[in-house]
Amino acid sequence: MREMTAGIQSFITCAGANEAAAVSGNAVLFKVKGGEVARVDAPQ
Amino acid sequence: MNIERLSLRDFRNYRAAEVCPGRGLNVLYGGNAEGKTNLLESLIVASSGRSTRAAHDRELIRWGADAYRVYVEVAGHTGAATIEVGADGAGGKVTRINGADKKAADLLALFSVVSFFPDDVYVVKGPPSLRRRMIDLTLSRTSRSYHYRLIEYYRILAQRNSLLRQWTDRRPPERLLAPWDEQLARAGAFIVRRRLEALGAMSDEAGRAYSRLSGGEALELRYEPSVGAEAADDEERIGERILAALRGARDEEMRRGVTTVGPHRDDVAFMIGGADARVFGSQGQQRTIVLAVKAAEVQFLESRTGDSPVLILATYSRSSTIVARIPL
Repeated sequence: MREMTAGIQSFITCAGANEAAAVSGNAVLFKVKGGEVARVDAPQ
Repeated sequence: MNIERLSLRDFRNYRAAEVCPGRGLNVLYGGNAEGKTNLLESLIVASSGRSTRAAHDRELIRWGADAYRVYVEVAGHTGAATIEVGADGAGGKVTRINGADKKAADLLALFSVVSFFPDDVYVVKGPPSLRRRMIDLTLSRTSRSYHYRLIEYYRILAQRNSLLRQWTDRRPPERLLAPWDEQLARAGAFIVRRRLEALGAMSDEAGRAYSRLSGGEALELRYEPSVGAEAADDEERIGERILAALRGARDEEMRRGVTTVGPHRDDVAFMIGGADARVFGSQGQQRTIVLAVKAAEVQFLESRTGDSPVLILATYSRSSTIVARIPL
């Protein structure tokens, strides 16, 4: 058994930075605001 | 299969955006109506040529713009490719792979996406057409012949229905209906056979995923053909069943002016402990069923294409729990 996201490229959405921090682990984070998207090192 | 780069132009609330995602988990965060789901929707459009969230392509065009474009660079076990999809407000569409004009079927075969959006719970509790679309989309991603046979089936169905409507006040001669019956049965048998195989293959995996997510409940996917076909039937036998069902439905079809049996009337049942979750399932059970089916879709696509699909979970507030628990 492995997690659904293991081994495959996956995208999830989170409502806020706290939740993003909770699930991020080794994930790549993107902050989305007003039709703009930016990669970030840590939830802000 | 990986997305190396995603570029948007005038898509939904994006004027211009570019994303180079990681090869594992990518987390999009932000408030409501900022564009998270729109960005994920662009991947659905690039993988199928259409959005499941919009009735018309013009809804995808940013307010005030003339057209949208989505560019996706993908890399899979067969190599790399650049996808371009777009539309303008006048109904013109663009579907290109590596700069060459292509059809939606080519996108389906090239770029597999398995997605879960909140509205997907309607796959369980909504009309049968949503469940047929689910299985048809999955099969179309694994087989161009399935996709084209499906298009052929619906073309034959439209022509047969047109004939039935022309004769609503009297019975059309058998010599007019019989050729359409035979064509419909042939194309329909191909579709039903492959749906039975796919549901059979996906049921075990969906059951395992559902058991893990629900804490031990058993889920079974069951194909419900309108012509009584069984899993053991070969294509020829299913064709005979469709023909017999069409002949048995003559009077009703004359009265209603539509074809009442065939794969366009089939359904998929989700059984939990012997109960039909379409009717008796709680909201939570129905949502978990969809997630379990998505897990089964991932495995089915991997086994049939040799490549992993891209997974999209637009799960909002419970995403952390779901991602942590969902098994493959």
